[in-house]
Amino acid sequence: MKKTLTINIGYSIFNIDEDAYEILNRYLDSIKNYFNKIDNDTEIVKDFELRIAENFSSKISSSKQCVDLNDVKEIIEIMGSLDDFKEIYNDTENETENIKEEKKSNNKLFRDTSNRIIAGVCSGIAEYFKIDPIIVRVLFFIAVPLNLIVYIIFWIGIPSKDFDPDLRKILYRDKENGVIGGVSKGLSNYLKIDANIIRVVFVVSLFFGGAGLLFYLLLWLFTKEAKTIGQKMNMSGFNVNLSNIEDFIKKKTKNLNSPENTLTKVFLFPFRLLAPLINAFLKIGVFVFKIIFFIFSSIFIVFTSILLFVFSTISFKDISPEQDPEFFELLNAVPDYFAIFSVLFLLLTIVISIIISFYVLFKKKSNSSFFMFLIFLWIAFLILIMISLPNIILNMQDLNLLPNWIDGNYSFIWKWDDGIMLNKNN
Amino acid sequence: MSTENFKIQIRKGLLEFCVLQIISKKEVYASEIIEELKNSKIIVVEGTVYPLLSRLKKSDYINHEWKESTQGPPRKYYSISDYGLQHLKQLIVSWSDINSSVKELFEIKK
Repeated sequence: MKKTLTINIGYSIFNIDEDAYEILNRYLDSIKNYFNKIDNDTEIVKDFELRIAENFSSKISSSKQCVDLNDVKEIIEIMGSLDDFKEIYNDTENETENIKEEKKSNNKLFRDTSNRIIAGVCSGIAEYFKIDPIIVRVLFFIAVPLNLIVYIIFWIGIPSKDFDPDLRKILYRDKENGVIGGVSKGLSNYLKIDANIIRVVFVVSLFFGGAGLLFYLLLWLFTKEAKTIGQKMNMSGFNVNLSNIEDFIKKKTKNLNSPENTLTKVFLFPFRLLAPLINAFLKIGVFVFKIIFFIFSSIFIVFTSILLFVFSTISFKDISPEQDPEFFELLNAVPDYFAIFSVLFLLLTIVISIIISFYVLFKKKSNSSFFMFLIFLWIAFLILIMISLPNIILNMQDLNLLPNWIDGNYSFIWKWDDGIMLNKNN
Repeated sequence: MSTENFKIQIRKGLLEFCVLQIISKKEVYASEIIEELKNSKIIVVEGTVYPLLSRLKKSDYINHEWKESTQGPPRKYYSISDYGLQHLKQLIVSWSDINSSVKELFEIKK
């Protein structure tokens, strides 16, 4: 039994197996990309689609109602792969402005909006150096405080661009062929090194301070597991053409049958034994982490809310100079705009932490552009507050307000009539 | 240059000429063109024809027209334009020139 999808191609509707759909989709995508670069012509792709539809409708009958992988393989064979087109069209005469531009733009740094988590900075840098974005992300993550500033500068300074994700190898975890999390096997697919060599390196590194373990865990955390055929092919850097698809399917069936040699078996034995243990341990770890995260984030959110409440009640209270002259003066020293910034800043902090908590705890992603807008606002308010704070403090110092206040002569108290008040200790 | 490469180069040069020739005979749609080209072993894969057709259309050598088909969705029928016919005549002249020169060359060798 297989899951099927319904597609509309060349004005016709077909039911297609999921795996067949994936291959066909990638094939059409690669064609679209290729011809967009050459002619900027959507007509060609439409012609392709029409022809494919014609072929499919000849394959469909009442006894076979679904397009399967074989049909897709056959049509790709008939239509030809990118390599075939390149032979005919990729000579110097046809190297149009578009391609030249494309070549030029490859040497420029762009933010990659097609494969981004925040703004595509890491992904853009990775595209520039032709490496996997994960590597750049991990490096950024290791040195967070400094890189946060670098990231924001890059965000502002670099224009964005959509890159073609199919032309790049992507690091996935290969859990199917892996021992513990599939990280080593995934790396081996990516780097085209035997998985056992990588495993040995990880194990050896355990005895030298465990940097490898940290690296392993970080990669585990950051990489996705290759689940679909497309991802599995991407993992090994295959382009979609017929021979690659066949290679891939052959390899997969061969892999299952080929026996491991004894050395590999002996080497992997302890890890195979440990794997369920580690997996269970990790699941518990994730669970504990979520609980701790939940506690901390709720404390943080509650604390910020109280701060917001206190601050807003104090700042926007109408107070006459007769009631409490010193407090009046102190309030006057805080300009209105600063109070508004601070309140909005605190509000945003609460909203953002709630969104992040939801994401971490339930993997629920909110609208990312809206979230980015919030983050952007938050940073803007942070900067505004940072800029205006020194002036206000200096101003307070001039008015001789600060020392008493900080000395502890004052404290906040709650009064039923007035809400929270700054009170002078006697 | 390998023989394979030689074949590719020749095919590449002749593809436009052959496609124009096929279209000049009668109104055809893409699959028919491909059929004929395949029969004469000029192309191996169909995908190479579509970009060429689009280029010929852009150069105004050919026109196209949508026609209902008895089976399946409407088909795009291509026909040659006057301008394309002129172009084809020039191509035929240059082809026969080259053809005869190459022939001569081989006859001298014999």
